[in-house]
Amino acid sequence: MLDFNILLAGLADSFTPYNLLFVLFGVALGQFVGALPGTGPVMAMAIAIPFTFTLSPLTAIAFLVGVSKGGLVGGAIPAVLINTPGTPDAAATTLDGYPLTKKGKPEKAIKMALYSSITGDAFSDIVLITVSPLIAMVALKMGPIEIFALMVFAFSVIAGLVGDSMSKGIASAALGLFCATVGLDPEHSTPRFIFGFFELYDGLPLVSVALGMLAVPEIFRRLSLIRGEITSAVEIPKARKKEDSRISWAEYWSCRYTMLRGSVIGTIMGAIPGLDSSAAAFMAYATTKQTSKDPDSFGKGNIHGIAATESANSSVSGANLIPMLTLGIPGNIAAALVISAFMIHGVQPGPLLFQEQGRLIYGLFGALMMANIANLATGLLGLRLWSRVIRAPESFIFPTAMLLCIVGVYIASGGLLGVVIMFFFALIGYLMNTLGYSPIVFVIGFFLGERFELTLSQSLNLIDGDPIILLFHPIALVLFAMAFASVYWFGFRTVKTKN
Amino acid sequence: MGSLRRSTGKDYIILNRISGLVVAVAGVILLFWIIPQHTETADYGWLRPATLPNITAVIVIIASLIQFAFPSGKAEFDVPLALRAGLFFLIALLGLFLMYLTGFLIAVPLLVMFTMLLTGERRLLWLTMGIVLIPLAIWSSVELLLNRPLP
Repeated sequence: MLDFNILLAGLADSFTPYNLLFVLFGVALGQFVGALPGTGPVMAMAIAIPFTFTLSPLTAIAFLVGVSKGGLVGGAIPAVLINTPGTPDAAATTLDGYPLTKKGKPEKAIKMALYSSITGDAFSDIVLITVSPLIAMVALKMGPIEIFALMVFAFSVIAGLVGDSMSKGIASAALGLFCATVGLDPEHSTPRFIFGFFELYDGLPLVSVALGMLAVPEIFRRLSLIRGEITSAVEIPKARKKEDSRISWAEYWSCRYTMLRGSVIGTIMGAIPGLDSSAAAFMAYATTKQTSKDPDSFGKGNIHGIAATESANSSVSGANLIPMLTLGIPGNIAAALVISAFMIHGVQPGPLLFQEQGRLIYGLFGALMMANIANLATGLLGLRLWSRVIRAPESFIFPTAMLLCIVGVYIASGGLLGVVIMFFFALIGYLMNTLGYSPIVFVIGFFLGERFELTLSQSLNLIDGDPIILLFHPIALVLFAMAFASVYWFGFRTVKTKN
Repeated sequence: MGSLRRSTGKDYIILNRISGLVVAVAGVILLFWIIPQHTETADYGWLRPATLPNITAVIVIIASLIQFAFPSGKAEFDVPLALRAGLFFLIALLGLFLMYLTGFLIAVPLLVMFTMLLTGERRLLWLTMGIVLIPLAIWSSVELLLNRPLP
């Protein structure tokens, strides 16, 4: 049952000037990096995690949530202004955002993107806040066998949906799981794969692997693409009339069904592990265009197109936290990074979180609400500033980002070994990226590995060599069957279709 | 940006087959060499220290052989780009080694300077910001504000 004392205490914890300051800082940082094409909130979150060590768990997570939410708003700015999405989530926003800019209405387009992004985000947060305690209550009734089966199912879905090859997805997940076995094993406490480094008894540092696989390869890739042509200033047309630089209430209200549709699509897709926000945005755009009375106006600067894509991609972020908070399974890479922040601060995500750390969770919900308001305020105030940010040269941005990665990992791991490990994984991440193996699936496998092995151990001890016992766990059997079905659906069926 | 050679559908297939084979071989090395050498044997319990690593290695081998036999998905390996990325990687590693020898305040400006110059950046303002201001800002925030030592 919901304990209102814990709820109020959690909200009171979050609504402090100190937390508000960090949420604001996170949102501003997220919008800033989101506005820089090629960087994005994931890189910013990965770099920021080690710097949150000195903060309390709630402040640290509130800050990271702010970065994630701010990034979604920031990503739309270059999509609208220069037809280059700051983040992949904003790719669909270019379809109507840029044509509106070309018509001389860039501020109108950005404001529509901002308002619909906040609307979608708030919608999915409400769903998260109301639905997740109920799912956690159901999840608490699950034993190790069911949780293990659920993880197998989640892996099969994530491996199938992230990337375009099931076999590569499975190999990536398995490699991530393998790397998670470095350190002491859960049943016998014997060291594995430590290669003489006693620092590895606790396993590979989370931050080194996360930054090594996600941020550093992208930095090297972007650096290798710069060939003496540093990003030049971009000319952004100015609005001539006042009404071209703002969104009126009537215009916003006319998009209410479009935003509702986008938010529902984004929330549903966000709650399914493995589906990303760009897919939700394109689906919302297609549906809106299909149901519109004037489909020909889409692609020519229709504000409904922007409202659909931005509400959909932003509503994914809150919904992604549903499987993470209730089941401990990250829906996407941003959620995986939030998981790593939880783990770094000694908090294990999963159904027990609501029982053991209820105050922290309700504090997080409070931070989500604050982040939405901060996103709106920062978005409106920083509009002009962020549109200048996209003019910063890559030759400056990426060496700085690399420096932050090195320093962040050094602080987090307490030595240069962590940085060496980060570079080792950067090499693997770069090769995986170029060869089409998903580093995201790898990192999710790595993050879940420890729990996966523990539940496997507990399940094997419960079964005790008698597979008949599995028959008394129908939910687990259903989940295993669903895992096989998803491997067939995303793997063999796709291969057949292609052939 | 210079013109880059784009991989064709046929290249994807060849690259996918090669990567599938290489990853499968890596899985075999893990299974028969690295895992037995770096795990201890235990004669009790259902989950031995090597059980999950062995399972993951077998999955890697099977998935990669499937990838070899039925190549799918995109794969793009541009050699000049990879070499250039390798050069930046090498500079970063040298910078790290220099950091180990001389410390943060000497190694980092040099690392950033070489990286920025290699990208083609020649504008004094941006170079000064990258080489002097950013390292100094990071150093002062970590050492003075966070109170954490840097190398």
